[in-house]
Amino acid sequence: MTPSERNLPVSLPPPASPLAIGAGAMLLLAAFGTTGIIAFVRVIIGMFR
Amino acid sequence: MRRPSLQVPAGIGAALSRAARRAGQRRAVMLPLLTLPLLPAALFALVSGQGAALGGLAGAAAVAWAAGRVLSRGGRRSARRAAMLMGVAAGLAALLAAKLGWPGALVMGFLAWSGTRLLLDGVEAAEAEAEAAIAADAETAARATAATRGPDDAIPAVLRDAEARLARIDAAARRLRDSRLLQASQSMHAVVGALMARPDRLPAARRFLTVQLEGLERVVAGLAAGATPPPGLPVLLDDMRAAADRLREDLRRAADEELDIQVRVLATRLREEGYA
Repeated sequence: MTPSERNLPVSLPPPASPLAIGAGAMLLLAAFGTTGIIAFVRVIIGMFR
Repeated sequence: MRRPSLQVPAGIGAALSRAARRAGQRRAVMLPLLTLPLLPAALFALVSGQGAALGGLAGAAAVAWAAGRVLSRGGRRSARRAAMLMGVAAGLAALLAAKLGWPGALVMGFLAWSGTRLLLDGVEAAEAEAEAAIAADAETAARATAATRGPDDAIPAVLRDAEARLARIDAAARRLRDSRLLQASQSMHAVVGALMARPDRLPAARRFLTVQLEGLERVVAGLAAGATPPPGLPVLLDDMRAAADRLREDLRRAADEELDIQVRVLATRLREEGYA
């Protein structure tokens, strides 16, 4: 086993960007939040029909 | 953006990549939780018996749960598949429960898909790195195993030659019943054993090996020819043994220090990258 085999170059994966994670979470909350609120309103309206 | 390569042993590289993979998998837990805003509507739909709305909401939650499972299991393109499932989940809830129609469902699906893609930034790269590092680790382990099995090109010829010469010196020392000579030879055996485990250290020890082996061979040849041992011989043999022991200890200490530095550098790097 040569030194080059023992010490393999390892590229670190790109670290998670906090900005990307925050933006992603906001988009997901917007999608599910909006859908949830509209669905809630629709269900409430449906109860009185 | 890719970070510059870091020279680390394959085993530590694989551990590093696995830590990155785990960081991605922790985000997998978040995916089903993001459907919590659908819960009030689902409860009221259940109470009022609105089957279509309840079906849409429960279906959305189930698909989001499946997305989390896909991500936590890992594998190729897991982040992309999880993002598509989250898009389907949002679209399903928008279509059946919020009754937004196909355009609204598509918009919500797109929002959830793009949000998940952003949220899982870097997860696929970590997966690929982990797989590559684990494969490299397995290859290195296979080579190390092969190196321990019998004659192999992995052991430099100079070490195989030294082993053979030491075996002859051992045999001669036993025939001559010279315990000091035998001890010196056995200490050299230990040095050669240490160098076989770390052949990269050979250049630093090659000169020592040559001088010591030639010296021992000359002593053995002289004694075997019937020469009377000179008064200085026991001291010389003791010195040779002590020098071999010191070299073996130096080899061990160098290996310890190298590993210690690598562990400290990697621990710092892991903390900086947010993987530990």
